[in-house]
Amino acid sequence: MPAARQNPADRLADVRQSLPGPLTDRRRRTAVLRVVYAPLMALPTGAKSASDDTAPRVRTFVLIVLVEVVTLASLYWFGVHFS
Amino acid sequence: MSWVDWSIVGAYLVWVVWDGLRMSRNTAEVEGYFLAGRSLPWWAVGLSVMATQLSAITMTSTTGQGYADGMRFVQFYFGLPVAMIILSVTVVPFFWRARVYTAYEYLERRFDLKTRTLTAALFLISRGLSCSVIVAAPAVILSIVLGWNLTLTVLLIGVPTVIYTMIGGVQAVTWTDVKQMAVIVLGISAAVAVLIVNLPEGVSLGTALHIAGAAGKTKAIDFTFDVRQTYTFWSGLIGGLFLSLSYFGCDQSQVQRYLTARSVDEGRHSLYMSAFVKIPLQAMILLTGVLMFVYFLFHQGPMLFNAAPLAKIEASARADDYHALDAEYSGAYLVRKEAAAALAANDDEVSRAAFIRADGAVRDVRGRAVRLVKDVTGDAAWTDVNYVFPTFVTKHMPIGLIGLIIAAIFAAAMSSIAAELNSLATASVIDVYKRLIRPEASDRHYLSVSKWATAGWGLFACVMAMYAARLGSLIEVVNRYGSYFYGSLLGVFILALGVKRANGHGAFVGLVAGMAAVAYVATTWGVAYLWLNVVGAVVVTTVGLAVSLVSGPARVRD
Repeated sequence: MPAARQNPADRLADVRQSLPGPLTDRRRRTAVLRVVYAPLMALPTGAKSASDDTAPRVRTFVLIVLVEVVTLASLYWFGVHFS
Repeated sequence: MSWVDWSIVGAYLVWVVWDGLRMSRNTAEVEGYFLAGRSLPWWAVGLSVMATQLSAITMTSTTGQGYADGMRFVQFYFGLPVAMIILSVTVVPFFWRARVYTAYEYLERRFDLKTRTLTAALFLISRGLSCSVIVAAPAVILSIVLGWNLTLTVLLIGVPTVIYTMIGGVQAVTWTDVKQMAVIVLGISAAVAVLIVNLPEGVSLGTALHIAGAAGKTKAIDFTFDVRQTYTFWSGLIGGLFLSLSYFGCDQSQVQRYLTARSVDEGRHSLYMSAFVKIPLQAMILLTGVLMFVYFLFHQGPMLFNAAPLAKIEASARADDYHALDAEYSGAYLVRKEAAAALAANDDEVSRAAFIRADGAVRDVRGRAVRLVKDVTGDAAWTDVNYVFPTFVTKHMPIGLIGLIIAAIFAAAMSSIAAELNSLATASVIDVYKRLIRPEASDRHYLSVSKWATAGWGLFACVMAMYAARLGSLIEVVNRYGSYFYGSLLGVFILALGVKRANGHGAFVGLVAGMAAVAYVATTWGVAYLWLNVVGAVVVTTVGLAVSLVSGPARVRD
């Protein structure tokens, strides 16, 4: 992996450059999503093949935990902000 | 209620029965009747899982908790997402591949008949009683708030549910659950919209939440570690994890949902839906309660939302005391209203302190009124929290939306009752009738018995509901004792799935020891009930393993 891609900001710049067309807000958001989503997509799925639907999906588990952490952080913020 | 609202409720009841019967297919054999031929898509099963858990008690009691205690009840669900991950790699593939009808059927294959029979009996007793409570709780509330006849209300909830569950089996249950879930979410969203629209001029949603926050209603997370406190981050995460593992992994009313999925993966996906959606959904229901608190700051509500004991108070020697409290409440309410308006206009330390003082005065009057009711009625567990939402809906919402939300309360009750009747019939037929009474009979015979079992459990639930409704706080007691079994049941399944050396004697003795330990800890230590699930699971696993090691090698698995 090139050294520049190890820094998230550089990776974001790489992804932005790779997107065709002018850099609109929508394309900026797409680039951010791709950078955030990339580590998740890099996780092993646990499936033995593309048609294997019996193996547990590691990717889904990580996503569930991430969503829970974000939800709990939001609830904590809600309590602190509106106190 | 106006004729418009009556029409909406009536149309809903007719539609749900018609739709339930219309959607029932492949119910000419037992597998189709109980498991839909294992053919349902994950999203329908996922919505059914959520609808089964979300009863009318959730709609009335959780909004009431939001009104009284704020957002902290949401912590109860913190262990649920992790439980779904664990279940999706353990029990879902185990049960699905074992091709079982019930979770307890698997226990005979792994252990022995006595363990299967005991766990099935525990399920039938606790779920049978809980089903009657699920019928009784909304019936009592609606009959008091709307002035309906209690028996008629019980029948209005129970009879349509029994009809479509009995005839249509699990297909009817699942597909009506999907639509009922939509009605529930629509009803709650309508209530939230009305609450926001009716905020006084100059009070934005953000300001309203700041006012609620000043009264301590917005604090959702409490990191205190105290096993005697019911809802903390730790009790929700650890105790809630064990409760969710047990409820979704060992309770037939939930296990049967994902056994109907068309593959292991779709069964897993149905649980993931709850993992993603449950906490935000519960937060929204609690937020409805918090917004009701703000609403009743600016619109005077009754001193006590449950008007049932008023006649008894009027006839008692304490009637004058009650009237004096009512007058004091009106005065305290006006002071609080002004303090809330001042806080909305200018959020500084002085106005905040004045509002907190005024809110404390209102709570003090209400507290004395509640104590007076308890003295007069002799009901030490009396509360009016469950009546706040129905009172708001019937007295303060526009015509049309009242009918929608009453229909949503019906939908919440019916979706849970239908799933429970279906699972009670399954365990009765598969674990008791077919296994112990008449092992050799035709599929047609078992199907017929299954339909009568569904009707029988429906009749039991309705009759017990009418009885339970007159016992007041017993409803709370039944709910609480039902949760005593959960941790112990989980312990048996941990032994079955995770401990190779465990045998039938160990599981049976462990289960009995676990329930005894939970009963002892609950009555003598004063531990909050979520932790009892941890106690039950740990004791059953430990005792079960010890007895298994002493009593000999595990039985060879089929």
